[in-house]
Amino acid sequence: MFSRSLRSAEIGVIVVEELEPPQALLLRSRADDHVAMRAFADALQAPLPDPGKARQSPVNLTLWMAPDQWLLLTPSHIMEQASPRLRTATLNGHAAAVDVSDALSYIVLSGTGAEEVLSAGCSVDLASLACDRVIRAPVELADVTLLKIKARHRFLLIIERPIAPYLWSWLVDAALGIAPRS
Amino acid sequence: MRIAADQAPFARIDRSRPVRFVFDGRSYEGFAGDTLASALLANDVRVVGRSFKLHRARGIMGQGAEEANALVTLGEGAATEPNVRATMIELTDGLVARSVNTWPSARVDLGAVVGWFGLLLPAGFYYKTFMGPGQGAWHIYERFIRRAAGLGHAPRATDDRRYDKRHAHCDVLVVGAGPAGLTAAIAAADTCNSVLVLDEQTEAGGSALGMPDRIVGMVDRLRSAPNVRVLMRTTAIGLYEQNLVVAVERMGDNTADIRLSAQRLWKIRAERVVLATGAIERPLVFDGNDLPGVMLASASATYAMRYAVACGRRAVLVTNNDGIAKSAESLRMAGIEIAAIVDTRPSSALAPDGIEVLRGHGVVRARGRSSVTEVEIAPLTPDGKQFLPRRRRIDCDLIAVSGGWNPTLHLLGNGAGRTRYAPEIACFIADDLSPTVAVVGAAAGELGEGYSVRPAWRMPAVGRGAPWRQFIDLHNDVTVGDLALAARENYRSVEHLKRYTTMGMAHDQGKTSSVNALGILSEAIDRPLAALGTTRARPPYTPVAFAAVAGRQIGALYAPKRELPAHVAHLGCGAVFAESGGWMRPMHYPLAGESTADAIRREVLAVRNAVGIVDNSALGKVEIHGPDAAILLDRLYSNDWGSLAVGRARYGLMLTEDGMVFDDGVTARLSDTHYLMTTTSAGAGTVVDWIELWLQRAWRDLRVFATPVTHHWADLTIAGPRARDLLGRLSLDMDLSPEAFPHLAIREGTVAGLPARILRASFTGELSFEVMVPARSADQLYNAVMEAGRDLGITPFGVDATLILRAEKGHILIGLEADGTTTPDDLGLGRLVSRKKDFIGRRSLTLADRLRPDRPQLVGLQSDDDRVLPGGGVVWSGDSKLGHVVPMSSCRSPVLGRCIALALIAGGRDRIGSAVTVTAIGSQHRASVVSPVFLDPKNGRIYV
Amino acid sequence: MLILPCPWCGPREETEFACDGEVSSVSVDPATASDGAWADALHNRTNRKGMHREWWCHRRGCRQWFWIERDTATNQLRNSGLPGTES
Repeated sequence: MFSRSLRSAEIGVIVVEELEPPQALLLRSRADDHVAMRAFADALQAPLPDPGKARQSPVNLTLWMAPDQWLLLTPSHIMEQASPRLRTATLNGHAAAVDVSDALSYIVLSGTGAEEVLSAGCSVDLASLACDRVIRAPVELADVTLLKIKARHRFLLIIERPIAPYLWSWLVDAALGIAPRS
Repeated sequence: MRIAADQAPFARIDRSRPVRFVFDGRSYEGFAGDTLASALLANDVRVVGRSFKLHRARGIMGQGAEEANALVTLGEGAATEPNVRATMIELTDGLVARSVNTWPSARVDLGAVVGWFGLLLPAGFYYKTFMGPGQGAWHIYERFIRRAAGLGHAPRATDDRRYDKRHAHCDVLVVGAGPAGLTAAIAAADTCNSVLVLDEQTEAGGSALGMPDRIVGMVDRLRSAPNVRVLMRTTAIGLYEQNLVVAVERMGDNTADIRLSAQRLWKIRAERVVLATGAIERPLVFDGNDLPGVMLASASATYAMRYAVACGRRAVLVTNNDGIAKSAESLRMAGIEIAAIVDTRPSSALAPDGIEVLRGHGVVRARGRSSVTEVEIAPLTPDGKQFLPRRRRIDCDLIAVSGGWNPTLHLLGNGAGRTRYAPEIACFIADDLSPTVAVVGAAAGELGEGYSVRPAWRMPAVGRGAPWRQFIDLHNDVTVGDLALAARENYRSVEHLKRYTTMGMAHDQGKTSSVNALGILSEAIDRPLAALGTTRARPPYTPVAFAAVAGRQIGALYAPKRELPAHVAHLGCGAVFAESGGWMRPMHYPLAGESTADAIRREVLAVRNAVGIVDNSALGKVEIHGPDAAILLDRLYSNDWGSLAVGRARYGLMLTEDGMVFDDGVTARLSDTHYLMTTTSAGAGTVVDWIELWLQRAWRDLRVFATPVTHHWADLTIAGPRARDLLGRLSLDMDLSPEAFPHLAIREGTVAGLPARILRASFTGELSFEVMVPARSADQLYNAVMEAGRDLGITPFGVDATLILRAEKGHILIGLEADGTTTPDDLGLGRLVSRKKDFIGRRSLTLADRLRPDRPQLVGLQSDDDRVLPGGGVVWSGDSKLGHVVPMSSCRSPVLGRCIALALIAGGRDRIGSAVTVTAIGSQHRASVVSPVFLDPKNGRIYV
Repeated sequence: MLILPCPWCGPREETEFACDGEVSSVSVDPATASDGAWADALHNRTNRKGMHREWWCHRRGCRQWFWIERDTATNQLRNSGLPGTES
């Protein structure tokens, strides 16, 4: 779904890659507002994911961010089709879809040892993290939305765009630190 | 002296790998597997340092973290590490070390002179000396004291080695890989998912190292278990609540490979923690017990068995417990002659083959010049308080002492448990443990089968000088005399005793001195040990380098510096940046050869007379959606919102519950249920947090969402009389006329081909359009503006010019005059306080304090002369202090041609027209009080 | 350093959170309260030694507020809940 990469770095077997940003909408609705929740589900042809979960479809990736907040990521051409349905979903005013496309950056960390790289700055136990689990946690000084992607040792990190250069440098630096020891 | 291989068959040194090292400028040789201490002892280096206060010669007395004497400065240049225990340094080829607190060397130290004045320097002497004459005297004394006191020197060069950090989780964490720890780890590995084992030594085995192989196979079994991880060279330095263990791993400090860490800080959360931290032997306290050659018996045995080092040729062992039998056996196997065992107990089971045991005897004095040459002993009375006649001197060069054992329980000091005195084994053991913490092995008081001890906290003193040579804390030179003095001066609680005498406050944190001191104190004031308790042990267990704590959060990674969306464009225009609130912001854009002051002046005049562009993207932006959006705004802001029409905008003040202004901004209405709120750049985070707090906790029924979009939109503000002309060239689908697009309105359209929101609002006091486009297009927009505005005189301007522009207009800045102590009325914005509706801060505005007539009020100051008024300067009327000049508001106004500033002064508005004085350190000014709106009070330039 | 149980994200390190102090059960009507009563409600808290309820926000995670019972002397943590259930 994320097709192009903007830049990548290889440190040993670790790969740090910044992805071309997709369209991003922050969907707002109270979870107990059944009307709005159903309208979103119709627009996206799937219910919004439960707390701490992500749902990947062929055309988009939806992440739970907070009890009343979901992040919807879509390649731009597909967004144009869903957008009228989303607008309808928010027409009754009890829900909202806010464009945050240029607010976020996307970095993928992969390779054997990716968990150890993150453990240099993240106190969440990532080894026991299931796939499609979304966690929001600090990685050193960056507040990150982290998703374990279907393959092993592969993580998607979503951060606010101005922090991306810092996180990139930090990841590359942390990857330098997991060189094998004698 | 090194022992031959056949006499130390289980030694852990590798004689096939010799290692060269330098100590105090002299070259020596050791083997791989040595510590610096064992190698020094192998080379018969007996004096390795000088004590802290009295500069007495000191030698190695222990073999691990409990070492109190042998501190060295390790390494050179940038890799210098001061105050490292020689017993904890793994010997590596080319190692360089220097004794501390010595000059020129440990052997020959000029500071020894101080020791002659020992009696003048008892505990607490500095509380009674160095006073006067006069107040300045201390500063003179301090310079000398600072040089005389203190230990190693910190390096001046930057340490480029890599220090990093790891977070880890496990089911069971075992601290200590000695026999008890290994046993616990193997048991845990069979039942748990993840086991982590830490040990501060270079190899596992603990007390079993150098002994016939008690731990055969255990280490291999652990290393082959997939769910066990063993970290050697890793010291657990603290145990915190909910089983957080912080540990420092030394990765080989002399590594040249920069990728590998010099030290790694581990933060480990464990379901259960097992402390297998062993026990540390106590020395005995007697006259001359600080001489080089007086060592812990178990340490001398460890040097013999594990390192193949004889610490002397002829030893006298002194003890109050049976545990010394093991040390005696080890020394004998190593070929060291044991002249006698002096046992303070009148009777005991101690009876090793072929060694004379002098029961009921004690040490009168250890003698020698720079190290032990003989020991004088005598029989003790049955109560141990006095010596009987019949003294005897025994030649020896090693006095191996054992006063008992202290389980190592420092990690419990932070709340995981307590300790209580166990009189049957004369030591403190764990008590009241947290349910998820266990203690095993020697740390749990398992000190050997049939272990028996009778406390002998100190030997009787013979002669008046003796108590001042009976050392309790070797590192800080605290003697029995000091302790008795402290007790006489009524410092009788253990915490007072510790701080008054400095006992237990050195690097070793009392590992070999605390319990002895407690024992002596308990006898001195006749209170049982159990009632006295111990001082609280606090982390870190052993010293931690600051670099290890800093980790990688240094240099470029110290703090993220955010760049504005049009950063590249700013660079292209020659911006000078400064970091402010986490953002790199253009301060001004000097042209070639232009001074800073000239650049700023030019920018201000360009905005007033032509058109300027500034990047305001750091300002907070929040989308407010929902049927109750207006209600939310009404509650958050002090002014009214209900009447705001779609497409219009309004400036609002946000107050704390105290009634103080803490944020401001323009909020625009985009539709019936959709608003765009703007905040200050500092408020971008805090205001959203504030809104969420109220929505989640107090107003859960409000149907509204607040979504931060600060980073999605760039905000490039075009300001100046020609702003409309410029914008018109870039947005052909919008009617920018004042009728269609009045001041304080918002429109959506296309600018330079980009989807845009334009907010017409003014901070500078000129016609102003805030053009918002998606942030990744900011450079594109910026360049389009610069291109289109070339013949209009388009001028980039930065923070410095903005400060002048806003000061000329008296527009408030959150953080300056709105510093959290000023109300809307104080700031002259009383008209923005609604009388109709309830809002946060409303009630506080009617508190008596908020209605005082002498409250600080915002005014302008105009300097009488051409000097800039000092920001922060005090404002006076005669001798009365009225208030202060607002920092960063004082400037020479290019438009007005005079020096102006904003000020907060008591009852300021009534003082307009009066004269005041302004003072700061080194300057005095005269000024007049005027309206804070220096320019265009009717705002004609904004409404055009 | 505590581990706090965020109701949405599960147990996390204390450094991910911000604390807003004691849940104040006293509510005063600003319209009728005296200056002293208002200032007291705004600034003063019971500050109990022992179990009390306090507000925490998962600032560096899901940014949601919750309350938790904490013993101010022992740091023992007990029940917790979402806003609306704190009294």
